[in-house]
Amino acid sequence: MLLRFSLNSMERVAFIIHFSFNKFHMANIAPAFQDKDSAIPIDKLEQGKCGLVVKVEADSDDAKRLMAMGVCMGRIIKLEQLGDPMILKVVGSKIGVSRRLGEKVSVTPCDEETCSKSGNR
Amino acid sequence: MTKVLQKDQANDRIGNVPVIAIAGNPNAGKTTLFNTLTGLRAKTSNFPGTTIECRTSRTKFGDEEVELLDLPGLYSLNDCSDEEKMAGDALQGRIEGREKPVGIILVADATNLERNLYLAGQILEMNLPVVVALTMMDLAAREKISIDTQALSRELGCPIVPIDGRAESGFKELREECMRMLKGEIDSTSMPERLQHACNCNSCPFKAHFDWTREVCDKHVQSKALSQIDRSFEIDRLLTHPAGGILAFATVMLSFFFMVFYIAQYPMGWIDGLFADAGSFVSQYLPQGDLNSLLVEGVIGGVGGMLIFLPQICILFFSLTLLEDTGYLARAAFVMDRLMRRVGLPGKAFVPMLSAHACAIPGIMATRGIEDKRDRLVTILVLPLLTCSARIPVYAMVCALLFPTRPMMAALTFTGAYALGGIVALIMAFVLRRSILPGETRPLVLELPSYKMPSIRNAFLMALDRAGIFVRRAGTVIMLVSILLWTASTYPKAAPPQEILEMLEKAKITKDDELVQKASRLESKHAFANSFAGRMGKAIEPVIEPLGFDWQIGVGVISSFAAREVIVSTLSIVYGIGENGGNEDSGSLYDALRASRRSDGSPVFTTATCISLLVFYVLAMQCLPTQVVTRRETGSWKWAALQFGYMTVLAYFAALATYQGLLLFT
Repeated sequence: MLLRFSLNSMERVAFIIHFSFNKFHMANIAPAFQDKDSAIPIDKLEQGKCGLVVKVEADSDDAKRLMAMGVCMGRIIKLEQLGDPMILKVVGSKIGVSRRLGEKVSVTPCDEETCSKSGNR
Repeated sequence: MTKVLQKDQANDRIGNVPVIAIAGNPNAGKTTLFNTLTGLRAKTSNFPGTTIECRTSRTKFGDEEVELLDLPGLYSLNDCSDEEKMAGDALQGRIEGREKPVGIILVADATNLERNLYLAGQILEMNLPVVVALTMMDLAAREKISIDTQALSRELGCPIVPIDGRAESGFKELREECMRMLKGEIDSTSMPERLQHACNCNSCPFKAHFDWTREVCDKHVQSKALSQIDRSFEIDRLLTHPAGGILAFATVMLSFFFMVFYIAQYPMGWIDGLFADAGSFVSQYLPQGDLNSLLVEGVIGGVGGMLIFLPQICILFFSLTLLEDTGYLARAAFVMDRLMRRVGLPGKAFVPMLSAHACAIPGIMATRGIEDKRDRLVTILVLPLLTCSARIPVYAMVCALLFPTRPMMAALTFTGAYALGGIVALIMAFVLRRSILPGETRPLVLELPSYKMPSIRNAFLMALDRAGIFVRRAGTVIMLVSILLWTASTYPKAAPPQEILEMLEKAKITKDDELVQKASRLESKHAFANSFAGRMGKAIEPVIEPLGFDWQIGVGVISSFAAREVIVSTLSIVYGIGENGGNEDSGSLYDALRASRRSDGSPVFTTATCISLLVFYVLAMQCLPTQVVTRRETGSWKWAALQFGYMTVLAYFAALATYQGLLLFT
């Protein structure tokens, strides 16, 4: 348990560093989501909530498969069901994704309105 | 091998028939469209040197003959799987022996246009003439999604044909567009301007393409009601639930097994009868002798023994295709992934594992759905451990020998044998993952498509297609093996010893039918003992003795190397009750086996020997056709040899431990 917490905080630090380096880039992608500290791995999202993908860092082939199905930067994704594998909803379809791959997708949470507008209701 | 394949495929196209490729997302209705355009004439083949399947079929658009090429389902053309690589190569004419397509029919699901347009964008960039077939229009209408097809057509720069699969409308228009495509009337250099811009900036190409699809859909698609996916929300909750999902899976699979085994037994009976009739017909009209025996026992018996599993294979693929079409199979893979990943198998391996309970061959063929090569290899290597239908006659025989009057115990033994196969398969997957095929399974990325009504027609065509492959591939091999086996158990011929001849003479004079039968049994037993097969049985006797087997069981084991159910008929010959003992008069087979004695007078089939034999048959690799298919699917004899090697060693030592262990307790 303790190990898990410390890992999580490590991850957070990593993200903060990452996003401060990519400030300019981030602003380009999503001007509406300036809160750079709020990026979290998708499995930390609340079930049923949406997030805007800001980064996918995974082995190239797996990442490509995921991205080709719509889990790529700039898309709004809904976490339909937590677990391992988890269910994501993106551009109108449901995708089952292993948690260890899902963890590599970082999102910034978005509000209900943005979520329902994204077609992921 | 690759060369041969390529040659085969080069021969497929006679003259220069133009090729039109059909591309689209999985679950977009591509197969239905292909089947409606072509009907029964489709042919399944592999891309040269791979196991990636594509289906081709000749059809006519107007007066012009065309070859339609059905590519595997694709999400993109990013080279991130072999399928995508091959599809990209096929579209650009980079595959040897395949013509570059003159145009592409792009199948897009109207209910999920945004995702489908991603592939569309990549295909439009290839500068080939494209016709977009917008499928699922009926579903889209029901969900109150309206698409401005004319504006969309202008935007994409290619014709769009809405298709309603259920009402079969739109196919006439699609054929007309294809005719225009063949005449060169469809402009190929019409990449959407917006997309061109999207490609030029050097941001993430995925993002650029999806931004484009978003923009296009915002402009031309109006969705008024909640999407259908929401209606399936509750069903999905149950079917993908960690506990409920597994329960649902078990229920579905039980009915699935019931279908395959229960319904199949009727046509299996017919086929059995048909071959028996054919056998007696041939033996009546041919003079007694080697040719007669070769045809009846070798060819008809051998091929019939394999074709009897055809109904199971047809029903298996029929119901599997129905299940897949509904969208349930993806949920089952999703639920199973959680469990199977623990032993190092991907969730998608459950379909092959299920199929392997009918026959390992369709199981191995079904591993093509697994993307990762190592995941696929592990699955193929452990599949033959699962109890296939060919083991059932052997299990039945052993159970009847052990518990002739206690059906409950027989049923439990039967179930135990099934369970043993399954458990050892999982253990072996775990072991292989930690030894020669290390590494984690590829993480799951699997679309859970929305639920749909399955198409009987698709399922029927699929069953027909798989049946054809089964008959062609395994049929030729089994025939050869049957002939070899017949030869080994017939030659060299030995003259019957004096006492048997005397017995025959005596029987003829006294017209004692029982004595005639006894004499001819002894005669065939003697001939068998002297044949190659019999000598081999004697040669391996020292090796198999610790397992509790005598040389006659040894002959059975050797003869069933090619097909394990053969042991039942072999034992009936060896233990001298005539060749038909296994089929018609099974009571007498079991009586004879139970009555058989070793040279020291003790019974051959003790409890320990029976259970040892059962364990051996659960675990041993005794199926030449499976080995041939393993070699085909893995591309190397190395894997087939490994499969044979580890299973034989496993079977030997497990049977040894069983026998010696049981001896200690009895």
